[in-house]
Amino acid sequence: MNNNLALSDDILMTVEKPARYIGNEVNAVYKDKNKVDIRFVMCFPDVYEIGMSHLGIQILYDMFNKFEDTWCERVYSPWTDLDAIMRKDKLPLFALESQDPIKNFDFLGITLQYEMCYTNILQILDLSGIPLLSKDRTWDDPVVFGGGPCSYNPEPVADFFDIFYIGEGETRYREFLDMYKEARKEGISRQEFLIRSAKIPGMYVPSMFEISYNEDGTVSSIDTKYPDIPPKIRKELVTDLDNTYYPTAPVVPYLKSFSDRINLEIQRGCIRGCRFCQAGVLYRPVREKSVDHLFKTAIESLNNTGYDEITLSSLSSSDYSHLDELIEKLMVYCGENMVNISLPSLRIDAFSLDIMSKIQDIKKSSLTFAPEAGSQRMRDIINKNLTVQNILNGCEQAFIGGWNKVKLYFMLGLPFETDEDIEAIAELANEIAALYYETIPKEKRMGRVQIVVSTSFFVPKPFTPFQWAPQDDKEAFIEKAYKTRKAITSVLNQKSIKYNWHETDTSVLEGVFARGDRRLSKVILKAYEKGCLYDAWSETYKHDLWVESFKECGIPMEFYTTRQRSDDEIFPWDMIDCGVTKEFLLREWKKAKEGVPSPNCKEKCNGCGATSFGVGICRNHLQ
Amino acid sequence: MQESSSVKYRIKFSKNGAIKYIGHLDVMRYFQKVIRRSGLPVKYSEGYSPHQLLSFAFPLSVGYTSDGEYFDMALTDKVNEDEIKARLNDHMDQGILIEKVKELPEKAGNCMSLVFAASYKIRVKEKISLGDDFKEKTLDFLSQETIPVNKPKKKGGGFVSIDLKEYLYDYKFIDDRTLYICVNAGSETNIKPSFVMETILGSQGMDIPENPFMIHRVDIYENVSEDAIELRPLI
Repeated sequence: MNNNLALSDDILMTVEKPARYIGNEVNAVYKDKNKVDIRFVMCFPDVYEIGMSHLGIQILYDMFNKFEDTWCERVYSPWTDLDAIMRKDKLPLFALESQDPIKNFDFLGITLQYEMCYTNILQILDLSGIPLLSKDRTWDDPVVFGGGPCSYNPEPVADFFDIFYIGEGETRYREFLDMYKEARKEGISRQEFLIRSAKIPGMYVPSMFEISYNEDGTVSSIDTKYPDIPPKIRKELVTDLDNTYYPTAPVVPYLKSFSDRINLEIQRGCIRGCRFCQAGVLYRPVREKSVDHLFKTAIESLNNTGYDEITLSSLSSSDYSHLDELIEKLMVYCGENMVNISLPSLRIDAFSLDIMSKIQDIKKSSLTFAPEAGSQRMRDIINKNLTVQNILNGCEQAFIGGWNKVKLYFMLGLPFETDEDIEAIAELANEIAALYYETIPKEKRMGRVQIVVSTSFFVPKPFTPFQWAPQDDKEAFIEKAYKTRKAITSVLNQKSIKYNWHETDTSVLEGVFARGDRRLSKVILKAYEKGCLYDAWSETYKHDLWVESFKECGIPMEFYTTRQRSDDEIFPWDMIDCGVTKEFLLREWKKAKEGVPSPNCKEKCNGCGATSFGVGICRNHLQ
Repeated sequence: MQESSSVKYRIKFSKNGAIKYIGHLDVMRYFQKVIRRSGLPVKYSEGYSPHQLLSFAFPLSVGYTSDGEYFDMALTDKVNEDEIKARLNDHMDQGILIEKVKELPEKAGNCMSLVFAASYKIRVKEKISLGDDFKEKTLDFLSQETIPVNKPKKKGGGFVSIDLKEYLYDYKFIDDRTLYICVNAGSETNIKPSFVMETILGSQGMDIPENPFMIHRVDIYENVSEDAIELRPLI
């Protein structure tokens, strides 16, 4: 416990939700700073309640703090109210546990979960008094680490980071920290230390790489600057998820976070191979945890936190081989101990609905369902292996089971999309509504069926088959949203269907950063200097300032979004090897063009390259 | 349907240090988890979304510390009072401490309905400069026969005129900057400690900046007399 807070009572009483800044939560780790060698601070560059909902940091926090020589603390983005006060009063940003300035730490690790957090990274560095550019830092500054999904194409923020850790954090940090301690003992220069870092597997040190460009602006070559620097950084991954770090005493925030429950990861990876999905590629191959391990972890975590809900998390929970067995076991325990079980990411089939009706209060919950595209043609293009019949069967069973609220998620702007594909969204929603009225007799209906259609705009991501696809521009997005709305208002059951769509401006910017290169660092810096911050929040997003920044830097957004990329283009992220080959992705891109789906990893190996890790589901195909 | 059996307990706790910045609702959620961790046989409500049967006496404002907070808790079985105290304290290390546990008679009213008064120590922060005669002037002001004031209404705008003296049960200086008061609480009138000190500073013509005080709640009381005022801590 630590009652010596960095902020004065006057400040804490002025800001919204002072609980964001005081630490001291249940299971927060406190160590004697004189008895550790390494001070690490993990950062989620968004507001506390969002950051505290993130499982990855909880895993690494647990891991680092199990190292006796290391004390790992946390920091989140100060909200705009505190941000203004800290700038005015020149207060340094501090870690929650010790309340010590970030500047005094050995390491600052920042997780990159979405592109729209990039200006928040600069806020963290700026308020900490750490030079924004890696090249300006000295041993007086922490070593700044990046990790998480966006670090697979870290180029837009390359100038701000010293090192990116590529892949799952559980594997290489110990080796890395030992090297760091040795290096500091020897008294080597920071530059020499970065060179050594770049030789550790999984460590990408952007300053060790020289990027050259063609006249048309595309990358012409990626070269290492020093001998012995590996030219490709291969993703790190955990081979046995039953025998690695996983917190059984996660930090419990006082404030209601977005995930007020135990988050139990049941497997990593996904067998499905949807062509738009980055996570489905990055976390290959699928690795499952055992029921025994999960059950033990669940009970320990519940006992250590006092939560009354547990959620089973994975990219596609229905594909977990032992889901039935796990649920049966958990239900007995949770029933006796007044714990709710929640199970997101289910495919809608008889098996999943049976499980959901066992564990959930149907009256309160709506059924969420992501067909992603309205027409079969489009679903084949994106490799969402799901037929209209699957969807309707699922909905029928759901209606019989008592659900009368269905949420449907779709994407607009997918490659090769036509007007018919857009109209098919409305038709599908209409069919589902009609099915309700056919299935459920009048006297048993609880009013009208409620169908909520939400569309988001498709953003092509690196390391997916769609990384070659042009992204729609803002006008096309808006037109497609209007077409969807028009189509929905003209179907028979339109009164049962509600339609929402996602922001367009942020989708365009997200697209720029997703497939961006190093030259964007200066745009992000400029936008930050102009006052952009919390770009993921619609209330604080300042589109005009972004447009201005791109203009002043002479960088057109369209180069990154709407441009057609050739099959053999060198991508800015080509120094990263995620284990899935570019050849495989290109094959999938061509199959998409032809509208040919691919089988999932359980059915047949598609030769994506992940077998080279020799773990998880790939083992079935190796034998 | 037959009610399943339960035993009610009243818990007194203190809240000091950094946790004073945690609001009332979050403290309630904190206790729900503490109780679950402690493994005490807490009773849950019947029905579709069961919740622990806890009821808190009187919310404490964010930023106040306290040595006298209360809640009532129902257990399905009888557990020794000292054991309850020890088991809860074993699962807390955040600045909240169980001070006392008392089993209640079956028919006892809940603690919220009993709240009649609360006592506070109000410290005027150093950023306000106080004259040498602050103490004397304050005591003179408070010792008047009546102290007519306009108190902001609980809800909506506007003021009500009351005689503060009627709701002020005790007062004394702890040191040059810290005044102890005991005032009416919980009812329609509910006197905020900050309001009392603002009134005092106002009577001496002082300007009041933002966040002028450090406030500590000492205890919460019920009135055990039917025709007079006789205050007793809730347990």
